[in-house]
Amino acid sequence: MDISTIFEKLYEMTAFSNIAAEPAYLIMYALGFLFLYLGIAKHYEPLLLIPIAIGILLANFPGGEMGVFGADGDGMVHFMKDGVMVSKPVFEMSLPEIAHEMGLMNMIYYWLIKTGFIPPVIFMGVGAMTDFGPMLRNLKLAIFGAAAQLGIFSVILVAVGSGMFTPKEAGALGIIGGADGPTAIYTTIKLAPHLLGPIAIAAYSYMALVPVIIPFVVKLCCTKKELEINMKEQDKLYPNTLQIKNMRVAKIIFPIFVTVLVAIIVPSAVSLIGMLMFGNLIKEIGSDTSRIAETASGALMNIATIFLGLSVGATMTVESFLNWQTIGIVAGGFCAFAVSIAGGILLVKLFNVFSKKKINPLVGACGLSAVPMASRVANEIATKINPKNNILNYCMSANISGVIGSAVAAGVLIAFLR
Amino acid sequence: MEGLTSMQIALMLMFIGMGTVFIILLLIINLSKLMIMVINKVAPEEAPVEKKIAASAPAQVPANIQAAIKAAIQQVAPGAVVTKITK
Repeated sequence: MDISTIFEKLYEMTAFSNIAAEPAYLIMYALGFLFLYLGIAKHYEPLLLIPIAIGILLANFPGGEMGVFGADGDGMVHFMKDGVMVSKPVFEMSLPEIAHEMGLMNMIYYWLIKTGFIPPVIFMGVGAMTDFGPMLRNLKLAIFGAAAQLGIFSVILVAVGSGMFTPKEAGALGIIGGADGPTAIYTTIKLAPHLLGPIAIAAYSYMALVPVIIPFVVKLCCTKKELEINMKEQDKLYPNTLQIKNMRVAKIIFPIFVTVLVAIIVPSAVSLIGMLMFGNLIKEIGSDTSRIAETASGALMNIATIFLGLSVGATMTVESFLNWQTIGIVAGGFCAFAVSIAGGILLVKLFNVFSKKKINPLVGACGLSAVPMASRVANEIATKINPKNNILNYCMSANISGVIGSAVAAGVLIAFLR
Repeated sequence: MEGLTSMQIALMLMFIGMGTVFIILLLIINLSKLMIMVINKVAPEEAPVEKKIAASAPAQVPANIQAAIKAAIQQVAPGAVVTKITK
């Protein structure tokens, strides 16, 4: 072996040879570094964007075997092994076999993500951190959480009409408008797993951009006079007839009955709603279950988030990410967000035409899940106009019901499209 | 789903999807109202929190000692009225 062959081998061992053969990798690195920058320096959803960014980088250094190979319609995966193209039925392989043949990241993906295990676990943690009190105090406002799912279904209509997406893919794209990370990921896994990377990225990026998107849509849809509506004064003028005398009992019964109700009407949404409400129940029971509530909202949720972020990033390989559908997802995701916000606002306006008790349209804008960021942003807009007009609690009602709304919408999509 | 074009599926989803979301949330809202009314009737009060006797309350002086103190004061200053004895 002379010195030049040694150098040739060395060159082939490193990633340089593959990168030189396919410069598209460079775009993926740029994307990875961009998300790292956004997560670290700009604090945009750092808990997710940073694992996703590292997942992208790991997946796209060829030879590292950290990229996720998506299964095709017949459940077959195609990948290069020792320079030979191999096709295998991934759902018939054992986990150690997947780890051995396709690398660790594929094992994590097919074990925890593709099975749909992680999103409900995260939802359980979200439930254990959610307080349904504001919603129970202002039950009427919860209806705006339904109107703000409009973006999901209108984007599906446009996406299917454009011919770029099949109905299943369009369903996964539309659910970005639910503004709920775990829901979007769960629906995508069920309907169009090959789009998981771009859809998760779009969903989390736009959630990080809620402070920009909500004011933008509000400016387009609302007049200053509407934004000045003071909810507390309206409450004094037309007080709520129903007062809750025992909040603790109400908060414990609520998650149980919502689970039963959703399980009966939309069983396909129950993996999300059921876990959300279970997490909430163990939180509300108090000291008897506080140990498991702490784990659900703490350690377990963090573990789930780490694996989710890394493996979602690892699905973003050159082949799966660099195509026109990704651009469609980025554009469609934004429209889904904007239309959802507008849907909530429009229902408030409709309400105000018929009702004496006026509602601030910002409450409707919060029907878009993204808890609690949407409420905070809406409250900021209201207090900027009138510092005394604090609407946070009212916004939270629509905001939390938006979580239920988007999970139900996801259930409908899964039931009809799968 | 067979026999429907993609656009028909999307339109159907729009109606069924929005309809279901509205129905579920309306049910949740109204059943919650019912739940609150029932709770207000059945268990109107928050469960009372057991309070321990505040430790800072002044300890009572036993009656026989109080009487002795009053008698002693009468010896020193006849006619004086004792209003408060605390430890």
